[in-house]
Amino acid sequence: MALFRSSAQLLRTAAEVRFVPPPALYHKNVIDHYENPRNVGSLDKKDKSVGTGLVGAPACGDVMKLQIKVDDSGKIVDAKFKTFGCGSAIASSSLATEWVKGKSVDEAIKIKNTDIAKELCLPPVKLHCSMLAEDAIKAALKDFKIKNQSMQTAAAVD
Amino acid sequence: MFFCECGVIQEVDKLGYFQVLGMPEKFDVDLESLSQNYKNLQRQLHPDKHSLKPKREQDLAEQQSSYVVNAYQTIMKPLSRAMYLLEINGNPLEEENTSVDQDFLMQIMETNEEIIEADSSEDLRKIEEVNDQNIKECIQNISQAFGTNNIDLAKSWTIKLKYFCNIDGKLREIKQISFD
Repeated sequence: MALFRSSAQLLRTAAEVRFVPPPALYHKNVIDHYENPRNVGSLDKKDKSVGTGLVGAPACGDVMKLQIKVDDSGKIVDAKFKTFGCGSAIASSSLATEWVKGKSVDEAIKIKNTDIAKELCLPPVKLHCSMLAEDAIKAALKDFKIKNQSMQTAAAVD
Repeated sequence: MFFCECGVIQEVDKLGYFQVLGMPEKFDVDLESLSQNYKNLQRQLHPDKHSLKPKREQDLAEQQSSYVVNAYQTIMKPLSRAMYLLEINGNPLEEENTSVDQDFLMQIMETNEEIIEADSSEDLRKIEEVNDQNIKECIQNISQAFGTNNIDLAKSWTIKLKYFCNIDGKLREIKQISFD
């Protein structure tokens, strides 16, 4: 049992728990978004045209909030984010807000984490940061849909 | 342990961190014996002790010494100890977005915002006080959960501990900057 666990597995654990790459190891595309993050801030989450996605990565202790504002034609007219986490998580969410702006709700749902990772040249150990950003977009879209469905249902009931 | 009875250093990396340090595989750790065992091992593995031995044994001693350091640093701190126990129980913390409680995430978001907006050391001290209390509560709950072998519960408290420890790290960083 425990006595015969492979050393590779144990060493990997140790490395993941403690090793955080210094900012100098980030790709320039990440540093650009990290130093000049686009669309930082908040939208009014009570506004029915706003969808809010709040997601977290347990292993890193990162938290990411991404919000979208959708107009009557279903176009995303504004997006904001707030992320407390590593440089890659900040850059991924910053890029995500840039990409969703101007897209329709149906187009935005198609944004893939692999595209975010490719644009930022994220190394394999940081791929989960781009997955978090994709999850945040999906969560924001879902929140928007649920809000507006219930508005429709409420209207129907009236 | 690592040494054959004849004193020749053996390969050891198949042992887990707790076994290497001669500790029971439990969350509740006697820190004094841990530190004692660690010092004894490091003394035995010290390069000066092996300078006259064959190169292979010297190399092994060096490898093992660094393995022992990793083991000690992991077991010493409650967060890394809990994460390690979850991992060897086949239930590690995930990197993906997994069922972290929304209210909890909101609370973490707000605490981070409070830290950014804090404009006096008094504000920061208050945040730190609350955070220290949260860390304590997590550790107690993790201990209880592992004690009753409830790994899922231990995991959900370890996730919270991870977030509170990140906040703690941030507060320490700010303190250091303001003291410089």
